[in-house]
Amino acid sequence: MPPETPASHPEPAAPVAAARRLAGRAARRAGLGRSPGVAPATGARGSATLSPRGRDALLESPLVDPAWVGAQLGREVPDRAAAVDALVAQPDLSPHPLFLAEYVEGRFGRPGRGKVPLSWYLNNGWARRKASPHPLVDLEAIVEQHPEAGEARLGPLTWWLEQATPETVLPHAPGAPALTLAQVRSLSESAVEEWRDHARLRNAPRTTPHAPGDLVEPGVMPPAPDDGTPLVSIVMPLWNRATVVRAAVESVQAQTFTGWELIVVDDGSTDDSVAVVRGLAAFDPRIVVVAAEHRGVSATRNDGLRRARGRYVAFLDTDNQWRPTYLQVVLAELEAHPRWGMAHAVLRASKDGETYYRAFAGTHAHLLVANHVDLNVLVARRELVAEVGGFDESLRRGVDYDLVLKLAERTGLHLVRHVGVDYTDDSAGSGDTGPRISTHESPAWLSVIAGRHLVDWEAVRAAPREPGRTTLVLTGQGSVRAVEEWLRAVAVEESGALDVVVVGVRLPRWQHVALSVLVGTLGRSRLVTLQADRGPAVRVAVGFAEASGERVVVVTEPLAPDAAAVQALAASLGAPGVAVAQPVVLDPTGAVLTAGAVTGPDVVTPADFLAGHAVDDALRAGAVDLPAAAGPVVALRAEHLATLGGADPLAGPLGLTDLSLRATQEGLGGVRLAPESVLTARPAAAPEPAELEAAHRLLAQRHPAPPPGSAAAWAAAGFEVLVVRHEVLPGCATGPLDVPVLLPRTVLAPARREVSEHPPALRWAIDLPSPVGPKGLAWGDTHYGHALAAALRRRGQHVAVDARETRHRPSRDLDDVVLVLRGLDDVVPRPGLVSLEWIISHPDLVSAAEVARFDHVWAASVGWSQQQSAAWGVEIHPLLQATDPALFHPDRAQPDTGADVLFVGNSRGIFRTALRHAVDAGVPVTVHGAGWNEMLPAGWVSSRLVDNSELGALYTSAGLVLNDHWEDMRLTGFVSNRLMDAAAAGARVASDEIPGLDLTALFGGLVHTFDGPGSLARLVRERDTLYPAGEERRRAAERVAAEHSFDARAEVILTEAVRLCQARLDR
Amino acid sequence: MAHWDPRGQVAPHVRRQVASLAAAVDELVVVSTADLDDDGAAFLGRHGRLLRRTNYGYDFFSYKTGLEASRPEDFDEVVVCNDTYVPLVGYGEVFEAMAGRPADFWGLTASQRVHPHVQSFFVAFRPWLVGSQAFRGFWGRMSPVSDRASVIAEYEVGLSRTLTDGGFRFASYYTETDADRALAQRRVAWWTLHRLPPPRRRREWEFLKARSKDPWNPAIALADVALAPSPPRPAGARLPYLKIDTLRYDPYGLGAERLLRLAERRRPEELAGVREYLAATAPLSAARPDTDLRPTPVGVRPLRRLVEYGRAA
Repeated sequence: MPPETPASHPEPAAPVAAARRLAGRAARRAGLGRSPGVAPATGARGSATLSPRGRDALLESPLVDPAWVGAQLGREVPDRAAAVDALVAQPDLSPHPLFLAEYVEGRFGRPGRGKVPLSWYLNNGWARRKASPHPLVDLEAIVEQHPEAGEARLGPLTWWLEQATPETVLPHAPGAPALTLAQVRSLSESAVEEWRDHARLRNAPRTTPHAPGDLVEPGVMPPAPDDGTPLVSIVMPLWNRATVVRAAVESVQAQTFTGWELIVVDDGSTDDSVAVVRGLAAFDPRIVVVAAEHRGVSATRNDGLRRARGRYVAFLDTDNQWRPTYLQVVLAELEAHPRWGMAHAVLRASKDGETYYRAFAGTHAHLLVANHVDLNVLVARRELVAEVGGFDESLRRGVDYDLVLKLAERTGLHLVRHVGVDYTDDSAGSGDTGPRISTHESPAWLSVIAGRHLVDWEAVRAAPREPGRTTLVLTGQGSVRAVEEWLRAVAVEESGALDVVVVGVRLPRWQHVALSVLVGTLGRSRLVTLQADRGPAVRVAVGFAEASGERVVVVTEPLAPDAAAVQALAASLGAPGVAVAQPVVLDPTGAVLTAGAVTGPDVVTPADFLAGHAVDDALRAGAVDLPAAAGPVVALRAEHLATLGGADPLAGPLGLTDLSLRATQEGLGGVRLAPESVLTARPAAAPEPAELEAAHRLLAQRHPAPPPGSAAAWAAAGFEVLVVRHEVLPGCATGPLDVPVLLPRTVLAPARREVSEHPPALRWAIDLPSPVGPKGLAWGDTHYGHALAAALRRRGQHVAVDARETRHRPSRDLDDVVLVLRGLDDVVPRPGLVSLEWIISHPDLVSAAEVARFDHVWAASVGWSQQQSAAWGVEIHPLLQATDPALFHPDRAQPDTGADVLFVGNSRGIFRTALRHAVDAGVPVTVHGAGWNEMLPAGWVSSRLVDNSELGALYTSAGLVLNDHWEDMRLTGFVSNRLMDAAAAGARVASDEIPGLDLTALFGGLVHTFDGPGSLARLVRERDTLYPAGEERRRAAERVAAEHSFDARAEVILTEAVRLCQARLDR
Repeated sequence: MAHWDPRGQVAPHVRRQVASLAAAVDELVVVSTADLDDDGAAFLGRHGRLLRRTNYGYDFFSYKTGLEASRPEDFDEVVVCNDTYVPLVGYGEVFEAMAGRPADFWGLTASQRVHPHVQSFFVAFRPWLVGSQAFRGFWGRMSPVSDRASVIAEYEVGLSRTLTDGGFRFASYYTETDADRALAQRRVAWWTLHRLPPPRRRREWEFLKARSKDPWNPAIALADVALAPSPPRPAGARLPYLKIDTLRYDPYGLGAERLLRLAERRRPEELAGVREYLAATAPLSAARPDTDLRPTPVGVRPLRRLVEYGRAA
């Protein structure tokens, strides 16, 4: 026997692991992190402790609501003391409909083990003032409505609840729905009631460690029919079990009830199984042996069922043995209850030395969660089994589960409390008999079965669809906050043509309550829940069954909210011939996760299109036709999705790709990229290698020829396919007799036009020091980088702007030039590219070694450049910062119509020079910026943040704009870009001095400097005479715009890059 | 049927066996490894199909030769047997008794020694077994072995083991009673005392005790059961044969001469000519060092009467 291949979970290669960690961190920041509050569903956390003082505090808190605690427990909780006791015993209980501890954001900390969460919240000053414990609790709104609540000792929520009556409306942000306390309570109570029903289904006692107490002893012997036919036919499929089948048959022969027939149907055994049972049948006429070709267990059992003559049928597998009284007891019960369609006996099982019993009657709903009826202890009326069509021959695994589900749809489940079988289920397998269940077949078959029974596809196909409406089918996994944001975004979406179905799987109580309340409040949404995780295909199917829209956007992984992108995706289904619309999906670092699927040249093994590229490549590709789609998000017409029967669980992680391929195969239309729909998803956890391998094999088998379009898609994105290499799918065995799955790896080169251009179209990566996502928007560097990119694009360049998380995207190999905008990070440029650095801030962090790494370095200071060039012997070229004349020009507003004296900037904890002098000089200033509250006189701060696009108008309209530099920048001569912006906007600017630089001359008189409160006061006082006016000011502004625009800078940078590229070629 | 005679003759008791077999079966194939004289060859040829082959590979290779020369799958039952025993029950009676016994193969007696097996001087196979992979594989893989111990281990025990490992079950015509088992165990103990040197150390004593509890070969340990009258069968023969080797070698030291005399007295017809056959072939028979026993220790001599042949009869 060859050595067994070890289960392969190869450690991810270090860069991949690092990338995953990075993606994980970025995801948490983007709000796509795994929810921290996924606590065990029931009180598995153990009880808590509470000090007497803490107890007194809770007894007085309006956040303890005995009725609500009782609703969760399903029993009466008479008073507050009893409620507090319950909260101590079960800390995962919610004390009040408006308090779900797990909802509190992680940054406020978490209650420690053994703490009552409410007690923790009330004792945590920061949390009780700032942290909302419920989606409908808006602490800011409470404080805005009742300023005194902000000062309350136990926080705004406690204060508000002390005042509130059931009819009081919850304070809410403008536009959010208005709800009374009573309405919230009512919604919460029905949600928790529903959750308890679900929990009962999940946690039913399917197995017990002890023998059930009231076992039935054998009593009457059921009479055999008069006509000599057997009362029960036993169907036994046989496949290569020569050594164990005798024991199974002998356990039938040993039955105290003798009026049976045993039909042993061989499934094409290649050992002596048939000879062995023939030997047994030769001496017992009740045994019938049927030999046949190998057709699988379902066909084999059906063959047996067709030959059965008994009123009942029972099933016994070759590796099980009945207890001698099994048939007698179960048949007696069935005969005594003519209305029972089937009955099952108790199963006693041992697994690795532990014994347990399966003695649970259950219902169809219980079966949908998990199968608890073993076929070996099931006896059913033969006509009923025939009515449901016997076993499904298309299934390769779980056929018994499918049959039991089908039977349970028609008749009740009845437990006969008598042990029928002793079952050994050791994980090591039992000796030479091989695995007991068909584990070599994919477990996804169980999802196929669950999908069929959970969704009535006939009804789904017939369901009416609302024209123009799009339904988003969203997974409820991951962070509740991300789902909440989706629900809120959809609720306020302008067209009103979007709704959501959230599919939650085994939701913890608090999540179920939170989502139910949100869904019930916000509207345009529904929540459906599954009590067993059957994988993404089943989640999608169950969600889709609730969809009413004409178009459906299915999502299989947590997705950052963006209703407009979803609408755009659905809208692109309007183009003729498009069956599946594929969005550009980014990972939380901003790199492309997928923009559809491309395949190899001969076999359908899909790979993600543009994975690891910057989003710009996807935008460049445009609305291109793709060979196939790729998850986690696609859009389809509901009618098409129904025709296709949803995604196929067997295709596992490639379910949506398979769906799109089937759509094409069925002639429904092709797959098209929707570049206007850019969504951010958390990458799915890497699938099990075996699961992925099975999915690839299925696709290759199901779709023999790869659809065209891979090369064309790459071409549209600006790439030429040099060669398609193949890599063995990690985890596949590569022995001489193995046939590993080969994944296509397309080797690309940027497509160059034949005609030489001037300047040539280069591929650029601008490397930002700022983070991805909304956080990055608060950084000036982000806007700076994008403005420079736009200027380069105007010169025919292809530019990707990479946030710091995307710095190591592999597709940088395809770029020609990387330009690092130096911020806080010391960036080592990727080899093979022309590397440029522009030092625009933090010169103190730059070292000689860093500068030496680059082909060319600029710094936004004339003085510093000269000084460091001399000191380090490495040339640094001066290149001042720039402004964007599209945003900053004199026509943005009427001069002198805005703030008299304006300052825009954050404090970062420092009382900045300009404002310090203004306060000292008694000059009132209008300030836009964060962190000023403690320092400035009341009324000075006008807003915390100004959108970059509105800044130009503020500058142009101001009487005087104040500017200063961070001290280290000032001393090193780094001219701030606020000076550029304000001057280009035609504003009068008062700035601190930069040693060795005449700012007034540099900006054509638009900037004058101060060195203290006195000179600042003079500038304010005498601004009309000191600064040019009217046309003169406009001309000065235009000159600044021309000299210091991004276009001017881009011209310099491009010229240098072209020179360096040429030098490289020459080398 | 495998036949061998060092003189090249067909002994009188073998002639009776052949005739009786021929009458009870549809086809008899005799594979002889003897250098047969004309008379013997003519006799065997008259009663069955005679195949002759060189003397190697013991009876099992003759079985293989016979099976390969026939179409065993065409029959309701296939029997392999040899000429090393004196049948005491008619074959027709044996077949009739076994027809209703649920088993895939069966023998006249089964032994637990080494591994449970049917004794290979007579084994019957049922048709579903004859078609099985285990059966065909066993005979197909067989190569001749010319060492008695190997033949027993690989073929006699090996046959049953291969078939039972493949999922099949055997039965035997003779069923031991509790009294049989008690007697047989005493006789194994007696044999052990004569087989092993007197124990000097504790370990040797323990070993001797353990060996004295070993399973037995019923053809030796219960040979006289064949001569004991039992209620439905006044002439005896619950054990349906006497083994020639038991009479010749007395392997357990239980008094083969007593057994022969008793047999000649009780079953004169079946035993006619056996004494002469033993005498004539004695010088030609292979020595069996394993049957050379030590003298009876003085202390246990009085116990001989509890174990010697004749007790069961």
